[in-house]
Amino acid sequence: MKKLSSHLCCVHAKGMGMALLMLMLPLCLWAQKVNVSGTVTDASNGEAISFGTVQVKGTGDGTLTDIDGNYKISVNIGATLVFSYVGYKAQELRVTRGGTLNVRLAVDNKLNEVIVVGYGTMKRSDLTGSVSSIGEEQIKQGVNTSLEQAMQGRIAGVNVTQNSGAPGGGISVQIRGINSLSGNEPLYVVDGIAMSGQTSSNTSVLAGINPDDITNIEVLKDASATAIYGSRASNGVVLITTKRGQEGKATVDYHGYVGWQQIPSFLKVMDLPQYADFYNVRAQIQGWGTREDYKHPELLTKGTDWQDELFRTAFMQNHNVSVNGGTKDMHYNISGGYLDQDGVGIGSGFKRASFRANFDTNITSWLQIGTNVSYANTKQKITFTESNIISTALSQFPDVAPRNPDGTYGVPEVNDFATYYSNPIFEANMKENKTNNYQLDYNAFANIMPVKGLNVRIEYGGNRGWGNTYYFVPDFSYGSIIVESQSTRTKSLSKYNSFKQYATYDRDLWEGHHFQLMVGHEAQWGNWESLSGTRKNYVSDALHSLNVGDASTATNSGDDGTQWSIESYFGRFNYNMYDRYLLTATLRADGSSSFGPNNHWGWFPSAAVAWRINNESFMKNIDWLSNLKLRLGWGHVGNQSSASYAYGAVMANTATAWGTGYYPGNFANLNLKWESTNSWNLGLDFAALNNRIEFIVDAYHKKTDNLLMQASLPSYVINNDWMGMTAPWVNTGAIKNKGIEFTLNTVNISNKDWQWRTGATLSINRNELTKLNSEGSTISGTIGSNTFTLSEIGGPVGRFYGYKVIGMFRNESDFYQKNDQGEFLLDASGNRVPVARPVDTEGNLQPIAQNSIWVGDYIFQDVNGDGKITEADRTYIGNPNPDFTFGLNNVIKYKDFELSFFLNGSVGGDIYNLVRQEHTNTQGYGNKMSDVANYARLGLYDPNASAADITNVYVTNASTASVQRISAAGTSLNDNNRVSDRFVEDGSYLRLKTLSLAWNLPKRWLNAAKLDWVQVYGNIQNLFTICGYDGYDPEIGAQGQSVILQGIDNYRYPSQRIYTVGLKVKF
Amino acid sequence: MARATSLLSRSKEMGLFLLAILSLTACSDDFLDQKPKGQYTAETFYSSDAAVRKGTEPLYNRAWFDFNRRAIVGMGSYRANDAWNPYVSAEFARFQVTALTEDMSLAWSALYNVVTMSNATLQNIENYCSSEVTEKAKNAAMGECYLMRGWAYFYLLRGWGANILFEDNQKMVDNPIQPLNPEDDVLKFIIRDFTKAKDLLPEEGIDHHPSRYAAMAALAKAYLAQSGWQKGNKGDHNRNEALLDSVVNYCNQVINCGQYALMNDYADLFKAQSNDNMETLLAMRWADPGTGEWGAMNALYSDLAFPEVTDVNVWGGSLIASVDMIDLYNEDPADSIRRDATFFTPRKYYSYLKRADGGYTYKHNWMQCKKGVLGTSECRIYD
Repeated sequence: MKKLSSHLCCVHAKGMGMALLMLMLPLCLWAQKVNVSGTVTDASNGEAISFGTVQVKGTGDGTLTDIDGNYKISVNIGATLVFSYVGYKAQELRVTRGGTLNVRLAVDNKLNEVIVVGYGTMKRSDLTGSVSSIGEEQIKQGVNTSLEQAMQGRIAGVNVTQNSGAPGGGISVQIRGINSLSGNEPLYVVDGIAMSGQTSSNTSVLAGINPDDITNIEVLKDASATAIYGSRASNGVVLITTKRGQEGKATVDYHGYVGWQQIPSFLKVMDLPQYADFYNVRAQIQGWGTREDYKHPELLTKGTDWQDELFRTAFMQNHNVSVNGGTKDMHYNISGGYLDQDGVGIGSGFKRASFRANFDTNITSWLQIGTNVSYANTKQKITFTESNIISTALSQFPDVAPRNPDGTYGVPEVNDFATYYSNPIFEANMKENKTNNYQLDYNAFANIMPVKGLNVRIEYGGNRGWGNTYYFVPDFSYGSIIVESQSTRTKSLSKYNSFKQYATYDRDLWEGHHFQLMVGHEAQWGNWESLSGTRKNYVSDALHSLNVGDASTATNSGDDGTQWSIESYFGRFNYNMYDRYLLTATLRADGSSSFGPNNHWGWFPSAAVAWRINNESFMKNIDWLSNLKLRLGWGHVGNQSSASYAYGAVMANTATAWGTGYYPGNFANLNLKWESTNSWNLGLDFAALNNRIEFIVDAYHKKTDNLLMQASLPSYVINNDWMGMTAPWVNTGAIKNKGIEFTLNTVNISNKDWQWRTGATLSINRNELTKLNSEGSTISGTIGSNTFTLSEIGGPVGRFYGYKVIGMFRNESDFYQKNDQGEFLLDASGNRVPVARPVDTEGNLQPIAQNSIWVGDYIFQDVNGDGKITEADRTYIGNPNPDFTFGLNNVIKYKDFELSFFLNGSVGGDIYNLVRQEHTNTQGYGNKMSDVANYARLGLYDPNASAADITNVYVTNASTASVQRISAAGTSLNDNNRVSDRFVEDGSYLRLKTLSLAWNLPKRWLNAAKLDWVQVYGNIQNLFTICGYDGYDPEIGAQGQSVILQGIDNYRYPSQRIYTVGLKVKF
Repeated sequence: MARATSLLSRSKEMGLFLLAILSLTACSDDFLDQKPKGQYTAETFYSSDAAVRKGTEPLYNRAWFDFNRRAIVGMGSYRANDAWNPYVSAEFARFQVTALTEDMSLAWSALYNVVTMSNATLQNIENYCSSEVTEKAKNAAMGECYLMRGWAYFYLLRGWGANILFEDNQKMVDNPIQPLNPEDDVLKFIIRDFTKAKDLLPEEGIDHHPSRYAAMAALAKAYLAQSGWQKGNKGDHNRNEALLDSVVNYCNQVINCGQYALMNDYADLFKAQSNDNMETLLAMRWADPGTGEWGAMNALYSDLAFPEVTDVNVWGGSLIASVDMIDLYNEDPADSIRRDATFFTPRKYYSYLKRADGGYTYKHNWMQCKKGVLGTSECRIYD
């Protein structure tokens, strides 16, 4: 009762205030208006502040300074003008007369910047954990069609790789190494709405977000910062904040650009004369298949360059308009964006139309409400990547025409060996494979401030996603291959809801002792459902609807989905003593439906302390030092990414003679629980010379235990062929990551005309698998039936695993072991000891013979020394994890010009070139890489003696040959192109990711058009990449975000070079 | 001091306020218990007699898939030399089978798959049947599981000797490294399973599910094996008479129960329309090829049949009669009925194949396997 009455009192007081205000209004009307004008400049260097806000306090009236910092406004005598600009301390001045009023704004210390930390905000200076930010300026630099790209190289400790260069393609973000085998992507929180970065689709989860809408990205890296997100925090958290309305005159911003994209380089494949020569040699060796038209390769034309047919200069455009404004009590921001990016490869492309509206209002002094709503429609064409068209293009014969004179697609005609490839241009054009997704994100919140220092926030939010995939193959045939027409349509709906309440209480209990306490509760739940149908036998390619297909071939499937839910209680306590000693402690309890009743709940605590050394009295005299802070943090966070209902037993279904039958689908594990990471972070922030030099270093050590994975069990327990129950999800194994990361920001030059700023990041991470379910367990990374990587205890995750090539059999003597003096080694009976060769199924060495192992074949290393080449001789042949990654950004401004360039790179990681492995085999048909034209050529010592006599044969180009000898198809038992270090390449690179020149149009040109600011710019993305890699592009990423399949170039869609010109207008 | 008190009371007030908010918004207990909506769970599936019966049916196809797919021909026909195929699993005919032979390890894994699937189904039936399920249906289903597990171990025993016996799958997950059980024990286990099946299965099977006589037939076969599988036993003629009496006893019961009889025409056995016939005690039962589901259909059919005789997508036809087999048939030229029904005989007319084209005449000069070739997919419509 007491509480209620005090509230009433409060309202009453408000009412009084309103009445007073109204009484004063008429007075104002009589006040005298005067014109005030002047220049707003930077207090430190006198540079004009463009687009600074000049506002009449307490009203919505105001203006902006122009490009030269000048402003002009008409106000009443006695009014107060507020001058402000991002990064500067606001200044209030009372107008006593008209005329000139020049203002010098002091740079606001970056440390006072307020940043989002999850369920609240903090001053940067109060941070105890490791948190990095990038702002609007950096997000807008270069062509970043998705947000993750904007983070690449700009945040120390964050390793961003595009898993595909295709428009809208997938991205992997690794924050501080590999923490988990079941899902390593961070948690994204967009305006308070959380979503996992893990996805099974070939696009990024942030694809629907327009980067132009974003004002800030904060990356929480260490566990003391992320622990407030508890069970989903172990891979780091990325907080994304969209633009909100600002008090003042409404401003309209337009930003648009058009661009042209090109593929930087082609792979070198054989042209027609080279192919004909190769073909002739092989025909001769196999004794059949000679072709009359290949008789004189030198007379042939170059033939079709399939890559040239497949790749094109592609156009892209992006437009964005936003309106931003508000009064003292009401703010809004509305924006719309459109992106249309054709792919450089036919059959690829991405479009996004997005709309966002943010609104908030103060209803009373103690109640604020607001909403965010965004809607996006994304369309992606994925025929190119899904059909692996690059592979088809590399294999298709150079004598096939892309199109016949009558307009039909060319297919191989003459073909002795019945091997055909489809026409890649046909596939790219005629196969339909696209997605069309709609996403609606929304949230509504109320901030209640019942007493001073207390803020209660209640927020409901969520999203709805409607996904559509369209797939169609027309009837077609080539050679003996006949493909039936088929259409598949899939619809899916995803739902996510979040309801949270948290209260923050903030106050100084005693002078110099500042406390903040936050406690809250959150419930989240979601669901995903789908429906899919297929029909065949389409009589025409014109329509692809299921309706027009053959109803008797219809099949369908659907899933009502599994709801998931998380309930959480969380709290954070901050204590700041004399601005010198800082303490943050958090605790979160998460209950998750991912685990059984025994293990619903997990507890995630953290604690961190920081010492602001420069605020100590003994440091007071060191003027040049702006900031010196030492931070130490610890946290225990979780990861819950396993299959849905992984702990329980489900029934699988299968067709039987009786109709559908059911069998136990999996092994249950009611004890399944969180994967948890314990992490330590030690950091130092240093800033000097009025923050012109800023240096941040963080070192961390993390250990993840209870790794979530499906148990690897022998084939008498789990049927390898998926005929029975699947293996249980278990908590087994551990991974360790340690690393160090550096950030250096400097202002090299800053005066009236010139400004030069540099930002650099460097990240080093070392990863080690420390435990698996049993001593000898390993995890293989396989694609198809080939093993490419192996992860075992004591080494990093996902190292390349295969054979080592130690040379080539050049002549007969190479088949026998020699000592250092070059003398043959002899066994007990005086026979020469053979060099290890592959064996047959009985374990006997394959014979030395033309159709077996012969001169011109590669020699593999006998790792275990048993004299045979077997699977046991596979060893580690490379490591995709880089030694370090870095980014270097420079922005140079001279008067109205701004030049910026951004370099990023990666050093020490290896790439497995699967494309080269598959296209340099002298066996098998189809066209090959041009390396194959330089095959090992065999010569005879005695031309009159037999070519089948091993002592008579030698490799004539032994020192220069790029690939093995040509042998008749299917007869070389050496399997020269097996997974080996021949295909491991250095993946280090340095890339000029962005080079941009911008020019702000002179003020006098703009006045007539009543524009505040116009900038035109030109930008080149990926101008050059320095690397030793043979493929298209050294930025490979991971197969479907899998941490055990990183750095394998499995026909990755190459990143393109993009030339853009853009325009920014503000009025 | 006063200030501290007021702070204390205020924080108490606030604490109450927050508690109120939290208690209003806290979720109910079942919020975190979410069950899949696209799949049955073990707890909810066994809710009727029909469901329990459906829960054993994959034991007739999917469980055996990789055993039936290829190895069964290699282990059976190649080793017996009644037929052979130089292109598929030829190692079996050449006596080159090793532990690495793919079909061999697939078969081994498939037989253990029958074991794990039977174990899990048994456990589910014991633990999760609702009150709607009758004791009769429960017993019948459990009998089928024991029968299938017994057969799987019987194949494992005869193919591999000593094996790992287990009834609790979880034991294998917790520690997959288990010792082998000696052959004698495996056989005892098999007989125990068949005996349980005999006791649990109904007098008459429902809808092609087995009767107790299927278990008795199996028991007879197992006892026959056991009669000569004693420790230290050498040679084939030293058998345990008591066990042989049991064999006779069970065989008599099966023969005289009145549910089974021999078909009138031997060739009818290998016709699609005779898929279920009066000779069948127990059979693998495969799904319609039209379902297109890998693991559910009889993939062996693709190896045995050839495009000429069927419109089902097949690529085989290379299993041909061995010379020994042909010699055996030729010993009695009058025995053309069995020959023609099991192998395609040159110039022989098969009225029941390719019926739409008016039958099929075999025109080749060799003898391809016939008994596994049922004909076109029209045979799905039994007539």
